[in-house]
Amino acid sequence: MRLTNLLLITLFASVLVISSCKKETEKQDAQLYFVFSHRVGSENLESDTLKYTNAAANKYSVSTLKYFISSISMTKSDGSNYVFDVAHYVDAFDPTTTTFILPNLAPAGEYESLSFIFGLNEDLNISGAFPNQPESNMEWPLPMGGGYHYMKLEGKFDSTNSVKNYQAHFGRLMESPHFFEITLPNISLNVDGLAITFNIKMDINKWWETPNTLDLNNMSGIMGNETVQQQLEQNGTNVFSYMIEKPD
Amino acid sequence: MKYLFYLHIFLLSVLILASCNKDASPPPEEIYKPTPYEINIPQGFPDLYIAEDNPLTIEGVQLGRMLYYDSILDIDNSRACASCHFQEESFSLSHVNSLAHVNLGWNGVYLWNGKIEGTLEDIMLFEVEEFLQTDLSKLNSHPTYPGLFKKAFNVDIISSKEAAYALAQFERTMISGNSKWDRYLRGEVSLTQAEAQGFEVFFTEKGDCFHCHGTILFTDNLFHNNGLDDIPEEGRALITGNPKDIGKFKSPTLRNIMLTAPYMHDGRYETIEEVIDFYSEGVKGSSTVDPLMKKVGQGGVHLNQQDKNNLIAFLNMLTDTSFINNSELSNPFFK
Repeated sequence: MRLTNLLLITLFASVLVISSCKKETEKQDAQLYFVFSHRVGSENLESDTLKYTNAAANKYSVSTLKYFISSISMTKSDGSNYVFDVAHYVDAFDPTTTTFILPNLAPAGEYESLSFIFGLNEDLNISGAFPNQPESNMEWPLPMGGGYHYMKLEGKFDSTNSVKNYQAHFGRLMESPHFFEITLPNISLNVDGLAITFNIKMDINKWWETPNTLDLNNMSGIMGNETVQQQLEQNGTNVFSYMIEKPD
Repeated sequence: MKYLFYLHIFLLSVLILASCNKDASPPPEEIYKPTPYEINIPQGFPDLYIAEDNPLTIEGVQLGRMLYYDSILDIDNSRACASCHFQEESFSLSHVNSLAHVNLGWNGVYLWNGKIEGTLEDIMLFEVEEFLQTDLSKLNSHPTYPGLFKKAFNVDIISSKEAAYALAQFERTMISGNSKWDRYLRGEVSLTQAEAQGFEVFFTEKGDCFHCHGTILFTDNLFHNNGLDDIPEEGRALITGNPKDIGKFKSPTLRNIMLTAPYMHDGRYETIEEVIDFYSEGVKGSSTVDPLMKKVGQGGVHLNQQDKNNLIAFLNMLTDTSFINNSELSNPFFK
């Protein structure tokens, strides 16, 4: 009797241990959210208000801020990665576009970094790929290489007592792709069932700031200007910061 | 004799019962089954929204076509939709400067100031109830229409909704996608030198037409103040109440633009040449002028005469003669 009891207890304990081990090793896939927000320096973004000042001392407003992000990639410490082959259109003044739920779950596991492309990668940047508005309104004209604007950032600025317009239209100019990758390094992301939210913040002032100080007097009709496209590409790598809401 | 009497009573009872049974069973109902309408969407066009509660049917589209051309919808029978929207003018009309009814199925905002937002059903309901102020009793007492509405929508009493829905169905079929430009995109024709150079003026920042009149629809379906006046009209602000919208009007499609003079929301320009001259040298600044209006301080993009001529050659390519001659869109009362 005592032996039977002992055996039963041992069996029960073993099941408990095994099931507990199993629970620890079997992580669950999780939903990822991206929430985009936009500021100008320390100020909240407000449309058509001539109140921001950039590094070139232009006093300016923002009327339009629309852009694509694409190809979200999560990388593990061993270098292997998982890519979400998606594109998402953001209109800073349309709240329906500023939250993006990835269409499929992120595979469970530990990830060291996450990256995404600002703009569209070459597979997606093909004229006609987005036939519906508002995305189709981002078309980059065929005589300039086709595809889509990666970004339309437009507004007005005060220039020696007269208000002028600027249009920072950024994209692939002919054979120069110009899209760039934003990486969130060392994030130690444990994907295990619970949703994770990436709060991605753009500081619009930084488009004009580092490493190239861009004067809005030169920010009109720049779609065919390879130099300015390169400068925007370089500055663009500094415009984002992020915060991750993840389970402990 | 007594036997015959009982037989008579029996047969009479059977007859009465049979007759009662016949009365009790309902007549077989006519099954409502309109014929689905197969719509042809041109290559490269966006997805066409079709309201779930208003699928396209042959009966609905045909009824909508009749209503479009029939002044019965007007409260005093003085006008039909077609009175201000002539097919030969791409369903616009020169002397009243009405917006062209072309590819409206891809619109989400209607009228120059976007007074109506939503679907074609929404704008057509506005047209029936507010613009034409349809007297529904005229439709309901008409010798033909009640039967046609029954076939199209399975209703015994016609309401504004069915009238609007029929019009919406017909409007969805008013698709222009077979201009020379479309045929060029399909690889069927090549461009003349002037057309090719006009294409470049249109689709680069030289003319910079494409930012508002781009995509396969040749409109962004958005609102802009294009710098017509230094003191702009209210425009979109009349609807939104937002002073930032002063002077903004909806970008019209440029498909069939050569057929839809006069131009601008108020029809101030009689010719396309005047329009191009405006964008080239006549743009005026104001606090709400769109940032897309480049060189507003210099009056516009400053095209030379050759650029202007080439641009007109390109715009001529957007005329779709198969659309304006499409017999399925024409007046059904003319045989």
